[in-house]
Amino acid sequence: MLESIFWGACLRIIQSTLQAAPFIFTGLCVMGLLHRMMGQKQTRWLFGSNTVASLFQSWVIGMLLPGCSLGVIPICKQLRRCGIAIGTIFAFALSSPLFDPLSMLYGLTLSKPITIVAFAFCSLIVVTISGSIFDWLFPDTEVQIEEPPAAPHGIKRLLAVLVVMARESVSGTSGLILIGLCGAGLLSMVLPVGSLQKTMAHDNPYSPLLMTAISIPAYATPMTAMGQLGSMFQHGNSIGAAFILLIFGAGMNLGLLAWMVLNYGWKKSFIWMALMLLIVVGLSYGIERPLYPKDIEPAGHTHAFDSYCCPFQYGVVPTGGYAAEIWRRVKLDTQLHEIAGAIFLTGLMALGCLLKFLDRYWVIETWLVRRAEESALSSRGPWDMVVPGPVLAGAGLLSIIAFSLVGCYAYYPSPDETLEELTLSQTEVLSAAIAGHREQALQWIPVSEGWIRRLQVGTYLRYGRLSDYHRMKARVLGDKIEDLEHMLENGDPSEKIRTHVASISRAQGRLSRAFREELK
Amino acid sequence: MRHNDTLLATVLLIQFLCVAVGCGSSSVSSGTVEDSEHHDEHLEHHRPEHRPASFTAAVEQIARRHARIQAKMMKKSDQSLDHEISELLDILVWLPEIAGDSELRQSDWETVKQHAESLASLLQKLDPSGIGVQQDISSIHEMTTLIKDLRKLVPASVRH
Repeated sequence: MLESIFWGACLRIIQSTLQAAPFIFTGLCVMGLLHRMMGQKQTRWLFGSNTVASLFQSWVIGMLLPGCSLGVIPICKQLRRCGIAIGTIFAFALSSPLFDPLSMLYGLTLSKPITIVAFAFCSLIVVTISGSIFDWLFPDTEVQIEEPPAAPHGIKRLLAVLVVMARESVSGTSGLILIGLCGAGLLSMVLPVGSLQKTMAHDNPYSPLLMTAISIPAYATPMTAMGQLGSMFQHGNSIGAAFILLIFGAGMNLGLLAWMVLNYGWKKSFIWMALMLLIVVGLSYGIERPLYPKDIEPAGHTHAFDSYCCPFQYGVVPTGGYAAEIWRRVKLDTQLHEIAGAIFLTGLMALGCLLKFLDRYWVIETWLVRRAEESALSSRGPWDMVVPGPVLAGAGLLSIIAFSLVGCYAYYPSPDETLEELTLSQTEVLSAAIAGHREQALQWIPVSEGWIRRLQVGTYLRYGRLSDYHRMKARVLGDKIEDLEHMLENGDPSEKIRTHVASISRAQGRLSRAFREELK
Repeated sequence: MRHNDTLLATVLLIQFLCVAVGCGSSSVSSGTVEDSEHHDEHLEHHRPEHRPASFTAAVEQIARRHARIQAKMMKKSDQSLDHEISELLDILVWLPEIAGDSELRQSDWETVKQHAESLASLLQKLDPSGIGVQQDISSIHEMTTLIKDLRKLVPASVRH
């Protein structure tokens, strides 16, 4: 049993690390731009501080920039260095991980997109009320930290950004990120496999409270959280719990809390947390009835939180051992942008370690801030213009936003491409189900479900709308795949499974026809 | 000194959260955790008995139930139609999904969805006490036309 718990926690931490990698890298990029290009004064202008308007500004910037609750840690540290009040910092920290273009598109193609819009509006209420009260209670949270000397224009200025990113990646930030990641491992240690499947019911008044306890140590990327929200809506789970999952699950983690305690002390942290709990939990009970979808038959269970529980059945050693199983699952689950993020992050950390080692002999910053000779400056050509740092930083931030928008087209491919991918994963699912390879089929089912969602979002992205007909075709196939999942979990007879597999194949054929021939 | 305090507070905070999660999971799922350990619990989506298996069966059921309601109304029976209307409403709510699991093409499916909504709206206007006022009778006739249209779509819903 202890072995299952230990390896289960390892798998959850590895999965969370890979999911977080692209966001942490993006967070470091934003931090580097603010630190070496934007400067303290302009950053304070951009975000504001200690006013209600600054809370709104930070919320808007947070909504635009892609991020996760771990990726915002280096940015929060930089905002603090810039002398920004804690209410404003946390308005950004809470809103940035909630939505990004990928997850927003996902949310808008759910059956009730108005719920997602309402959640976004509620998040604004949360950050505005909690930030205003907190800044009023503690108006002195702006710290004064001396700004490092600016690097001269040119390649040195760009290198300075890279250097600060590399140094940050191996600083206390990585410790805080590790604490955040440990939350995911910790949850899997206390929650046995599938133990949350019968929770979060709409009619259970304790669902939002239970979700609060689970979501604070949990780690979820905006996409993961949005996928879980979609699953909760589909299963008729508690809307209040879904809201808490978004705010605390996606917006917060143990690392962020630890950073707050370390920098602002336990008293302020406790008061801020209490304020947040009061507002978020209060709002969650308020929206439970008005936002609950009327046309949903409560399923009485959910799979949305299986990824927070231990992935291994206690005492059942996977075929090939735990290490091989972890490797297999990581290979199956990891996506291209996560691999790219992990590679960039590893590169940055390696550079950070190298710089730390070099510090004993030569500090690179001394060279970076050294100005060139006046004669070299005067020999500059007429087109070699000096672009101010804040302009470059603004262009950098806009590029990150633009890149995340363009990335949507890669993440949500065209319907034809997605259908091909879906066919591949469905072949794995159905052939494994017929052959009686339960574990293999169960592994591939989430992949198929993911492609069904991406098919809808990709269509919405390219055609500007998704008809009820196409939505229904996707829902029918998704429901049938979920039924198959239950049959496999329940160990239903093979004859019943074969009949159901045939029904899934027909539904898939109809889905393909609808998306290939009937898109206007 | 201050650093030690904050470190201690961090540890306490994390411990509090661990305890909260631990309590949460055990209190909610005194049944679920054990169930999952034994893995003998059946997870499935609830399928009400009156849910038709196919579009053909759904249209048949709608026609049959509609006829029963009409008959009761014409007889001015004092028997309540509550149960009959409620089950027919369920079927009409499910109809777009059931039609989505058939061979119907987009335009036909959209007709089914519209008709299902119109039928549900007419049905909701009926007086469940079954007294059968004139307005109810005209609604019943309107429903007959819509059901006839649905019947015409049955051949297209099955694979040939």
